Amino acid sequence: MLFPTTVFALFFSVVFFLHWGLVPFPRLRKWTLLGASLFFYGYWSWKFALMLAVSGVLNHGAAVWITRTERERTRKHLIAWAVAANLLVLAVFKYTGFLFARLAVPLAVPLCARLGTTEQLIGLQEQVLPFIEKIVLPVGISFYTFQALSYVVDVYRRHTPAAASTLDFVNYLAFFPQLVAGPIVRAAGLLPQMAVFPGWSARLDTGRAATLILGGLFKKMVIANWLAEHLADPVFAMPEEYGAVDTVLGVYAYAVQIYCDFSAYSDIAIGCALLLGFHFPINFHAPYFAVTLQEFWRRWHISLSTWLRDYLYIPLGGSREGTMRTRWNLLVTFVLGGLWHGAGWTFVLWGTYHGVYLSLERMARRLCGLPEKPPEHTPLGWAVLGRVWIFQVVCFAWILFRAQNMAAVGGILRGLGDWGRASVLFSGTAVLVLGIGFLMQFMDGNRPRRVWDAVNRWPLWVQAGVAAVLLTLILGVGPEGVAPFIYFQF
Amino acid sequence: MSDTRDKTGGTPAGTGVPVRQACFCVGVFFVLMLLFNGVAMYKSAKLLEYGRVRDLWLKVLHPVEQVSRLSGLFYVRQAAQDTVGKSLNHASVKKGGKE
Repeated sequence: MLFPTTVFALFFSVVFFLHWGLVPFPRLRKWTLLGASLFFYGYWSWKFALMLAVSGVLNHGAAVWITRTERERTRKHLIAWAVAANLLVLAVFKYTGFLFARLAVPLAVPLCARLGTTEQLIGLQEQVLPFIEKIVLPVGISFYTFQALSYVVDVYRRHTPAAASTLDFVNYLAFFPQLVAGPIVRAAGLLPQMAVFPGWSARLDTGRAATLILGGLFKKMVIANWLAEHLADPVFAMPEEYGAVDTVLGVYAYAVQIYCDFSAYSDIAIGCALLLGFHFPINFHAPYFAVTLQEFWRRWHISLSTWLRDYLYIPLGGSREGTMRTRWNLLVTFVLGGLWHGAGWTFVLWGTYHGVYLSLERMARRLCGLPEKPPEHTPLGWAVLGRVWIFQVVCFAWILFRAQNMAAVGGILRGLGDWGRASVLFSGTAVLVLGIGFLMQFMDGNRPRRVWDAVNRWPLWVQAGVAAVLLTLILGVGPEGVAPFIYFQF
Repeated sequence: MSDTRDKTGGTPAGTGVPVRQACFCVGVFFVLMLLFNGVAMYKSAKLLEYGRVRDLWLKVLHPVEQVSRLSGLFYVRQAAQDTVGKSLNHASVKKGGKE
C-alpha cells in the first residue's frame, strides 16, 4: 500500500478513528493496531505479512530467553543464533542471486576451466538460476530485520529490557507507518510507547503532522516524480544520448529526487505516527547543507547511519584502536552499508567510495590540525565552499548508486566529458523544480516549529480546510499515478 | 543552516491540540478531501483493471463522486490539473523526442 493513494487515505482514516475510539479497551486497541499493520503489509502479500509476524514472535522469544538466562556463555550462544537467523533470512531473500550469479559463478569459471568441469558448472547454473529468479524480495525486509536485530542486541547488552509482551513487540516491529522504508526506530524509543498507548489526555501536534504529511506528499508527488520522469530516468536509462550539461543535470536531479523521495516517506511516516500519538526521531536534517562527508552522514538517513555506528562500527573497534584500524572499520561499515542498500557491485562501490573518502577526510583534517567535527558555526565563505564541494562528492557517489550496472556508470562518466553536445533537457522548469526540491531541506528538523505552532493556534475547521485544499492542489499538480518510493526496493 | 540540535523531533509539552479536537479536525479534513477529490478518485477507479476490485471501488466512490460534483468543489482539483499540472506534466522536452 503506497502512502499517496486513495486506498491508504481510506485505510488511515479507518485506523485513526478506531485507534482513538478504542481508548477504553487498551488490549483490543493494541490488537487492532497490529491487525491494521499486518493488513497494510498483507495488502501487498499476506504470505510476507505472516513471515513478519513469525519474525516478531521468534525475535521476542529469543530476547525473553536471553533476559531469563543467567549464564553468560548461553547468552552469547543465544544472541549469536538470533543474529545469524535474522541475517540468514535477509541473505536468502536479498543476496542469493548476487552471491550465486555475481560472486560464486565468476569465481568458479576459471577454476572449472582449469579442472575441465565447465559443462557441470553450466548445468548447475541452469538448475539453480530458475529457482533464484523465483525469489521475491519482501518489501521493507531490510528495515524490519535491522529493527529486530537492534532489539535482540540491545536486550543482550542490557541496554533495554525485553518487551512486556509479544503483542507489544510485534506491534513495534510491524508498526505500519515505518514498516517498509523506515525510519529504523530503536526499541528503546518505540517499545515504551507500544507498552502504554497514548490516551485521550494526550495532545496531538496536528500542525506538525499536517506540515510533515503535506510537505512529504509535495516532495514525492510533485518534485521527485517530475525530476525522475523528466531528468534523472532518461539520463540514467540512455547515458550515451546525452552530453555533459544534460548528464550533470540528470545526476543533480537524481540527488534531489532521492532526497525528496526518501525524506518524503520518512516525513509522512513521522506525521502519520504523530496523529496516532507516537513519536519517531527525525531521519533527515538538511543533508546537502553538510560541510563535510562525516556531517552528511549525520544528516542523511540518520536512523541507518546511527544503526551502523552502534551495531557495526563501534563493535568493530570504532576509532579507539589506532588510525589504520579506524580506516578499516570505516571501510567495512560503509561497504556493508552499501550492500544493505542492494545486492550489486555498484552498491559495494558506492559504499567503498564513501568509506575511503571518509578515511581521507579524517586524515586531511588531522594533517591540517582541524578538529574531527566541524565547529557549529563555520565562517560563511568556508561553509559555502564546503557545502558546494560535498554536494559534488555526494552526487558523484549517486552515479554508482543509481546506475543499473558498471556499463551504465561508464556511460555516465563518458557523458560528463562530452561538452560538445547541445542540451536537450535544460529548461527553466527543470531549474525551478530542482531549486524548489533543494530548498525543501529548510523544512527538515525543527526549523518549521514556528509554522507548526502557528497552525496549531488556528481554529480546527480552518486547519482541516487548509490541509484539504493543499492536498487537493498537490494531487492536481502531481502526475497521474505515482511511482513507488525508491527505498521500497531496499 | 548547520543547526543540528534537537534531533528527536518530539512534541514539546503543552503544544498541540487535545485528542478529541484533533479527531474532529481529521474528520473534517477527510470529508473535505472526499468533496474536493471525489470526481478525480472516481475517474481513476475507472482506469482500474476490470474485475471485482474495480466494481467495488466504483460502487463505493459513486456517491462520493455525485456529492463532489453537486458541491462544485471538484473544480479546485480540476483547475490545478488543467493549469499548473498540465503544463508541468505534459511539458515536452526540446528535440530529443521525449515526452
